[in-house]
Amino acid sequence: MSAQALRPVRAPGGHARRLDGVRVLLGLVLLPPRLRRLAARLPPAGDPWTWRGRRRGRPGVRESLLGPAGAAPAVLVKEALTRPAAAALRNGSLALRDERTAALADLRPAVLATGTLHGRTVVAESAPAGRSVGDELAGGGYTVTRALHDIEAVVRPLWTATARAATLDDAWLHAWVDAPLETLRARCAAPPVTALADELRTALRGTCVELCMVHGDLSPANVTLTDSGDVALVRNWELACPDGLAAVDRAFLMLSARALAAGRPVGAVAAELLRGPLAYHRHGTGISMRAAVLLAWLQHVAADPRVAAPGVGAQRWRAREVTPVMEAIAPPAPVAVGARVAALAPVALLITGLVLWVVSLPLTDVRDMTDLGLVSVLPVTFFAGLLALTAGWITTIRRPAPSGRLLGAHVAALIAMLHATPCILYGTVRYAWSYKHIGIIDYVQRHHGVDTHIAAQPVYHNWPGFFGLDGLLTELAGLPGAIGQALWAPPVFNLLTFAALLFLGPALGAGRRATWAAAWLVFVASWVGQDYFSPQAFAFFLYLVTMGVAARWLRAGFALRPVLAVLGLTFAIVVSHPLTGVMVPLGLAALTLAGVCRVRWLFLAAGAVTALWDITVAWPYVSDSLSGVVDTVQLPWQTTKENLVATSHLSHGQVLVSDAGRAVVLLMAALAAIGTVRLLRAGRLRHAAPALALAAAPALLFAAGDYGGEMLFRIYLFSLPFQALLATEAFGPLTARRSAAAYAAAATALLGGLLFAYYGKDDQYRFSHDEVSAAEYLYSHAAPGSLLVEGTTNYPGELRRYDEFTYVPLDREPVASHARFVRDPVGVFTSWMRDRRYPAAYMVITRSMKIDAAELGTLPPGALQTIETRLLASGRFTVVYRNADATILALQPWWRT
Amino acid sequence: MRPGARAAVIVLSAALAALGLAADAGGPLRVLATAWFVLGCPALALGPLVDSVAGAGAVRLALGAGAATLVLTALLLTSTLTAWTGWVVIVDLCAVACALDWWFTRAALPRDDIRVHAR
Repeated sequence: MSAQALRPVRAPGGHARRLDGVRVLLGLVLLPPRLRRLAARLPPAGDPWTWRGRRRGRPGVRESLLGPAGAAPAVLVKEALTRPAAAALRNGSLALRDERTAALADLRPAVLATGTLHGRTVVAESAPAGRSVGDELAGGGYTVTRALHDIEAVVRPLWTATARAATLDDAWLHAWVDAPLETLRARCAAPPVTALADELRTALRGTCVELCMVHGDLSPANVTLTDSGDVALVRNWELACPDGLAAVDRAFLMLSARALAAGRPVGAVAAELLRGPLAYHRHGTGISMRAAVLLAWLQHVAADPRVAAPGVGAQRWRAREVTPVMEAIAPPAPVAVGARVAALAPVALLITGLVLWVVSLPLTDVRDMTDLGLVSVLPVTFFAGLLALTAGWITTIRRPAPSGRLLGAHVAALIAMLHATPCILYGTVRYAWSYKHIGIIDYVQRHHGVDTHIAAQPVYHNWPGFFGLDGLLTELAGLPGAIGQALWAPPVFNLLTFAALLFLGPALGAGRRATWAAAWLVFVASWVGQDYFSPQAFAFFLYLVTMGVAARWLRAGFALRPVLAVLGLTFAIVVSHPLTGVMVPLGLAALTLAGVCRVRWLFLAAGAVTALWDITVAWPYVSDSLSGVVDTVQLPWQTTKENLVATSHLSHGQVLVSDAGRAVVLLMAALAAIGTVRLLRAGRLRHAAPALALAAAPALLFAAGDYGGEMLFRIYLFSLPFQALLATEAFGPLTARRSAAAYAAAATALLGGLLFAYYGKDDQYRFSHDEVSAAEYLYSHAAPGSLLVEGTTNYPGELRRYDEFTYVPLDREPVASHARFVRDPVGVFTSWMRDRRYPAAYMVITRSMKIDAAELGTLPPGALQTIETRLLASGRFTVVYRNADATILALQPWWRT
Repeated sequence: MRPGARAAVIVLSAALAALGLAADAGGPLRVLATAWFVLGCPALALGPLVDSVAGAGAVRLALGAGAATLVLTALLLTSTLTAWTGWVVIVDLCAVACALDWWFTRAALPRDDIRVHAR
């Protein structure tokens, strides 16, 4: 490097000098440290180096212009951001220092420095200022003919000096044709690629040519001019090749010059040439012009990473650069009307389903709901929408290469239709336990913490993780409470589960189609309703991801970061939900047994985390309830029998709902069993061992008691995703018509069962605005320490200041006492509510309490209506609050005294 | 996303959440910004630490939510969870994750090796 090479091109003066001062200052500030380190090693050592801007480089290469303070940019630093770009940079720097390019003398840039900087391959080249021929072409200062003439005149000595004769054999054809075409196959239709390969092989094989050193990217944009208009430099030698064809270099020069002059993509210009008469001109004694154009274009597109990259940007680039040439080589055959309709069918069915769903919403009057729940009032358009969506799904998934976006749109639409419908129709939070969880958030907001020794709802205070997260969300967002989050929790948690399933399937070895097919089955069979605003829904999402991380990244043995991730996620689960905290070590043990998780101690470590929490922070709760839990541990079939509702007490509608849930469970289990048998017969059971182990592992939870009568449902929940993966094997390849039909039938049957099982209790789970208003009033106005006598717990209770009251739900009273308070409600409740230990006492009876008691048979028929009527008629009770759906009564003051 | 851009997004998100809190602004935008700050920023910061093999969004989100859950649980157990303490621990969590990522990345890089060529 000579000092002359860094000489200022033009000395600034006057106004320009002041501007340059600003530029120098900015350049000093903006020069990144890594480039500062590089520049410090370049001569001249005296002047400080400044950052002078960016230049658009090849894909994957970042180009920065540097210059000594006060001088024009003198150095171009190229940093490779990708591996192919690094290889290209190294190739370019070698070419520039190769003796064979010496024919170009000073017309090639000087390589000032090479090496690795900040982990990236770096090349620093001299970069005299000046406009490029490309700029002149685009601005009209140059014609294409002049550009071709001038540039060719400059480069021809290189071609001539390095020329040698050769015959093109298979090795050359592989390097020039097969290898670049391989990159096109990933994203382009097969027929034109094959046609192009055939054409080029036929045209080139056995041809005598002159091989020479070529630039490889001889575009006018890479040729810099001096102020006087002469060629100063030919730059960007990254694609240079010692064994190339001058004809191809020349063809690319022509293509790029025409493209720059017309402002069109190279692909479009190439396609135009290939369709025109030029295509058949023979270029000298070497290869034909058509072959040269094709090779030049192929070299151009194959060197660009966007040729095989995903994403919309790359797709647009391919549409500009690749598709026109492909169509010029093998024009697409006209598509038959039937095929066009078939191609559009999934989208049309998806849109139809969504439109029918939207139409059905205003047609639904939830006040007419019967004991069959929401399904009893949904209009036929809703079901037609679901059928259309299912048809769209089947049509999509059986395609040879189904679009991920279309599949995702179908599943998202299914989640919206199933889980956003109640949110929209009810406008209130569904399910009484959601309100209790809202009450815990309220506690966190009031106390800024939890009390592990609290008497009311202690379990949430001993496993408070979920409430901490949502409590902060509520506080930081300035929300008055968690009702908004609770309302939309089901669709959100289902979408999270969906994301986790897409990660989990491949981690367990399932193929792409099987993963999607299983995800759909999960959502049409998940009726147990653990997707509401609850720690379980949150912990379930974390559980699925934990299993996925262990199965995906611990197959080869210990790896620090995945192990830390698994343990961290386990800890987050353990502090959030007791049962899932037990399930994690079981799941990890299942993966270890299946040979997927090679870190054999990991399940023990996860178990230790669970145990550690239980014997430290959660000990107040664990010590109190341990004996009770142990008492409920029974043989699995005994727990199953007790967890299943005795249908003799239920209304007819509820019997149907209960049967529908059981049918869904049995059908899914049967499909999983068939899938397992098919895998066994095909000798692929080992392949599905992780899913099988994870599907079976939740059964061990029977050893953890009956979990308040819900253990069976939780076992189903934890097992379902893995059963679904096995179930997809029951149908065979879904591309086959018969398999797809069987899958469609099963999915539709499961969906039918789900509609009854999931929505079937909504007559109880739905709360009207009046009921929520009554609860809001009660919990806002009742004095701390009040006694709240509730018909049942099924109302929006405990949503605020829940820890300040004593609760007496009538349906939880001993059955023997039911008859007594129904026979003499005035006397019984007067004695209860005049108890001086409580500063005030209230009786709450709501619409949903009456429905709950009637449909589940927890109180004698009409008990709550009778109680309400007789208390109102007695004169001893005063109405504190009343609307169409709720009544709050208190004892007259003189009766309390 | 490059580390610098990631840090910038986190700083901006934290500033936006703090601004909403300080100004006591209401509305869905604040809810969205807060949700992004509480769930998205830890995911953004922690993701690269583990998720070097595949860019699975679910893993990033779970890690972010899991880590936030752990630090917030600590605040709950010490009865110190307020909007500001929560904001501070989430910012700290993101800062530690970004610093670790930066440190790991630096440690994994080969040493600078530049050769100057005389023309």
